[in-house]
Amino acid sequence: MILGLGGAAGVLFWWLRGHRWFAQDERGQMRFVAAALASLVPLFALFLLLPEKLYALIALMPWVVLACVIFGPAFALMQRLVVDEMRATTVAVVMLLCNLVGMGIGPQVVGILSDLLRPVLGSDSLRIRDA
Amino acid sequence: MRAVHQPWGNICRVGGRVEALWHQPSTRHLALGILLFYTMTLGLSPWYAAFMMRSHHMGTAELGVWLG
Repeated sequence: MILGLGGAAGVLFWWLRGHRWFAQDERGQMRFVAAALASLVPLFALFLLLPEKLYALIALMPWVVLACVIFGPAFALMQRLVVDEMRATTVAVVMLLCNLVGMGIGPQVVGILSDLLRPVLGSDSLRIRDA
Repeated sequence: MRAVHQPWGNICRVGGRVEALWHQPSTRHLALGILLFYTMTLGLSPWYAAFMMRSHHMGTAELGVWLG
C-alpha cells in the first residue's frame, strides 16, 4: 500500500501539478528536488525512531511520495542537457548504471553495515544504521 | 553495398557518448546524483520489512498489506 500508492502519488503529483510551478525554470526544478531530498532525512529519522508502528508507517508514506517526485524533474533535466540525438542513449546509460550499481550494491552495503554495527548496537543495529 | 550490422561499432559509439556525458560537468553531476539516490532508495527498500519485523514485531501478512 505505502510503496505502491505512495510511489504512484509522487509521480502523478509531478505530472499533474508540480511541473507547472516551474515551467521553463530548470533551476527552480532542481531547487525543488534539493528541498525534497533534504526533507527525506527528518522523515526517515521519524520512521526509524517513532515508537508506535502505525506512526512509523505514516511517516514512511510522505517519504515515499517525495522520493518518487524527484524522478520526473531529474530525468527531464538530464534529457535537456544533451543534444537531441543523445537523449535516448543518455537515459539508457544512466538507468543501466542505476540498476546495476543501485540494485546490485545498495542492499549489500546496507546489510554489511547492519552486520558491522550488530556487536555495538545489538538488535537495534538496523534502526540506528539506517538513521 | 549492403549495410552490415556491426555490434562492436555500436558499442564503441555508445562508449564515446558516455565519455561526452562524463566531460560535461552538469550531466556528470546529475548522473552521479541520480546514481547515489538510486543506490540509497534501492538499498533501503528491501530492509523496510526487516526493520518493521525486528523493531515493531509485525507479521509478514500485516506487512504485506502495509508495504505492498
